[in-house]
Amino acid sequence: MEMPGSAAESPLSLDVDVIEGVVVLRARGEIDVLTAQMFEEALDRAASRLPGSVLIADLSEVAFLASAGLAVLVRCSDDIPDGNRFIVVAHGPTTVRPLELTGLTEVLEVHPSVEAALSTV
Amino acid sequence: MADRTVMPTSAETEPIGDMTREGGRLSLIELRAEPAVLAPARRALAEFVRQAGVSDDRAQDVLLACYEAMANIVEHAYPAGSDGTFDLSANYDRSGTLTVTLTDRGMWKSDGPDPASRRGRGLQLVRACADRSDVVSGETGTRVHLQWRGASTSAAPYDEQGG
Repeated sequence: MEMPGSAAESPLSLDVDVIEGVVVLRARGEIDVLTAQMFEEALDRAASRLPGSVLIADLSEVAFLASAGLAVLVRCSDDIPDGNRFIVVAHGPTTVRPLELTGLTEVLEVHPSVEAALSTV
Repeated sequence: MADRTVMPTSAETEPIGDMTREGGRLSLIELRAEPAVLAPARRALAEFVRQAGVSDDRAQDVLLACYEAMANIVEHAYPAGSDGTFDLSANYDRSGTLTVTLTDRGMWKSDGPDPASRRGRGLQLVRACADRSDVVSGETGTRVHLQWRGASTSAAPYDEQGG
């Protein structure tokens, strides 16, 4: 029997919030090979018009994070202009584990919650 | 005696390959080597490991490792623009060992991937998430063999009675 492709609902949704001058991009769903580009474009858009100097990618509600998504985080971190900060919010095994296993918790600034990240700004 | 299963159909989707599920085995045959197959194949495997009684933490490792191994095939096993397929087979034995084998008929790029590249990180995740991982390349293709010991808690496949 044949097995159909992915269901019609979007596997990734993205919202932008500005909290105390900090831009927070909230991702919900799955960041994989197919959705990584959409995630990257949203991060680029957010990074290009920062009111302040801090951009947060909130992955608290990300249920699956593949290496395609890790690559986007690394690129964003590399591209952020000097003097600006890029912070990743992640907790729970679906996001923290791939970050840890690839050594990226040492490379990226990772906080367990948006509140914890904002308290460092 | 395979219980062939149809995934829920949707008007907007095309078939990605053939799926067969028996008691302790899942076979996805001739999946098209393209990105659109990755998420549905991962979901089919998720359902299989859930039924096998794999704990949530280990299931996440299984799904991440298999996803990255499949993504590597989709992106690197075949020249751009050519049609290729791969097979996924998953089974667990009485001791609860879960084995997933991915077989393609292409040729991986032979140069070792840079560990800091996206592909390098993908293969790093494959190795780190599996208890055992082997990649065997031959003239007819590449086979990725992944194993998790003691992963399945419903270790007696229900097709054993010959029914």
